[in-house]
Amino acid sequence: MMVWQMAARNLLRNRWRSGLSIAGIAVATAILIWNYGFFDGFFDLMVRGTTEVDIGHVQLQDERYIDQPATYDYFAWDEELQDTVSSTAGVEAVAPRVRLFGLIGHEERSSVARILGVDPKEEPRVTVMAEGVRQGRWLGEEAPKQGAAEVVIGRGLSQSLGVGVGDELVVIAEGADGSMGDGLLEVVGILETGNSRIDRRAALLHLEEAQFIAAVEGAVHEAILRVDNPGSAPVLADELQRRLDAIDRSQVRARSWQEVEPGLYELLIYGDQMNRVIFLIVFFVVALGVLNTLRMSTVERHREFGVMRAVGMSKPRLFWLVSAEGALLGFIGAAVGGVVGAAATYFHATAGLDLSPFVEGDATWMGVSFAERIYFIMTWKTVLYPVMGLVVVSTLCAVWPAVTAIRLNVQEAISGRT
Amino acid sequence: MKSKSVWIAVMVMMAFGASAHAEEKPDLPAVEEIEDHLDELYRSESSQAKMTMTIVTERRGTRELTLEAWTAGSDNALFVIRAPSREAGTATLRTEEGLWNYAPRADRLVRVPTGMLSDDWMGSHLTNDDLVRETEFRQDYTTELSWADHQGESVLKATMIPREGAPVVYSRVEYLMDAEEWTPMKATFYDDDKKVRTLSFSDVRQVGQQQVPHRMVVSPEDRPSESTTLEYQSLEFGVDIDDSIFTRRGLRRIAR
Repeated sequence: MMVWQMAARNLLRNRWRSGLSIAGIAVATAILIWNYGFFDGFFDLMVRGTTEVDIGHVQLQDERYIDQPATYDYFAWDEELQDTVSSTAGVEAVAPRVRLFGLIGHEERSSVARILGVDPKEEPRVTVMAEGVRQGRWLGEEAPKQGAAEVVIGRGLSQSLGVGVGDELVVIAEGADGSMGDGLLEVVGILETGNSRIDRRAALLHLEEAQFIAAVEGAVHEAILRVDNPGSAPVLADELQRRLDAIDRSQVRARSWQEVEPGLYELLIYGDQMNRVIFLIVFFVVALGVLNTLRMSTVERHREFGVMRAVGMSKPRLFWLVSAEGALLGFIGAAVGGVVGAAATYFHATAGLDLSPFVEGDATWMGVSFAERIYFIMTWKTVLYPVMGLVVVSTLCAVWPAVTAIRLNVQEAISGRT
Repeated sequence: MKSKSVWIAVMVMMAFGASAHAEEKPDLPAVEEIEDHLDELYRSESSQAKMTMTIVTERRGTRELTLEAWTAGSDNALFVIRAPSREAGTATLRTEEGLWNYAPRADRLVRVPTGMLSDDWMGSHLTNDDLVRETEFRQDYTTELSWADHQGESVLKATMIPREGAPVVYSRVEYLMDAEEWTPMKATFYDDDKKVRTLSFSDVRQVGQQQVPHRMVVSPEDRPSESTTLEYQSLEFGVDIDDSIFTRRGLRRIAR
């Protein structure tokens, strides 16, 4: 205990020097925490923007559909398959989908749309598509028995066709057998998800209606899954594949989002590595500062160390004293920085950071819009890693000065000849 | 570099062309006449036809459609699918104002954008443009005529290059025609010197004053096992057609 008191007293002997070192450590800690929170938020936005809007965490498709999506590469969505999928450990929700391209429009204008047949009850449990409805409403639980079918269209499609909620549209598309299917639709909602693939071209119909147009009754083109841990989706996909093989449905492939969007996954890994490099650089810079402070203060005190040794302080104790100064410096700095950094990160985690001043117009990256707020992510790791890292770094910085101190020749040090 | 060699080629061709002409080949017909002949071949001033379309695809099997078609002048055309029942009533209407598809289940028309002229018609290997002839050789291409050999016969060859801005996706279209009647035998479509698809004409029959092939086979180059065959069961020219069928309301009446 006395060592700590002495260390604290020693630090207080040169308040300016210690204060500046502590401030440096504090700023570094705060920046690391904020940066960590920002990157996690950024990558979370990327992952959620792609998985939770469109592709899900794990998706099932016919193996030929993966090579080249075609309306005729569908698979039967029967009870055995549904049970197999939903009973797999870790699967939280399953949404079947029919996908096809078709002409959507009216007498004056038309456009090619990505037609998506969805289950209005299951889809919102897997994706945030339903939350993206900006005008009107989401598809009703049941498809209308007669009259026009319901459709929710992307903002871009609604603009290019010049239609809004309540307007009528017609869809004409080529079905799986090559035959032409068509249907009368009523726009019930306008969608804006932040995912440009959806917002520009998508038209969402009830699954049954899309199955009829695509001539794939009882079958789907994909099923997308929400899982409890998106990070371990590849493991779950492998397990699911084994179970599919076991019921002789091996032509249906289970793929994790990491496999579906390898670009995104690589980006995450790259981002993580970049974060580590930033940590290392900051640690190094802080280390130079702390080392300077501690070395200066020990060089000045050679005589004092000599006297302490002469009156009976042991070498280990002296070593501890100097190390404790470094540790204390790091601890105080990191604590202050931790509080400041955590507060700033918490603020941006709840209120979000408005990125729009930094991006021009409707900036999208890999289909995800960054025009809106980015919400930081703060976990115990976000704060603890930088804090612990800097305490360790500044403690280690004390090792060299401490070793120098204990190696002093007592006589020479006392007489001031070092 | 390139333009220079093209110039040399043109000069050489001119020099040899003159001497070849002096030999024994008959005079080439006027380009406009050939263009008009091809443009008018299947429609005359007005026409009415019944046909079957057989679409052979690798993955979707074979599909057979029964069609009925009417044309009047160079602007009006109507194609209606009569069978199979799932698709019966599906129609394509072309007027001066544009191109529409009629969706029978919805009982509505949908405009087909100009950009989709070269997209396939109802899942066949024929394009919208093949069927309704929105583009015209006379208007959208510059044509050069020459003599060529086709299966030991001397035939008329029309090489057509789309004019700038024409809604055509091909870089070049080559028609081989019978030397006397100018009846098309084969048409080859190129994209950047790469053959994209061929149209083969056969079963030539006399309709009115003209020799008209009643069978047309479209073969896409990238999928050799696929094809679409269009066979005319009947084709009449100069029939009296009530112009009102080329309106949206008239189409509904006739398609349903």
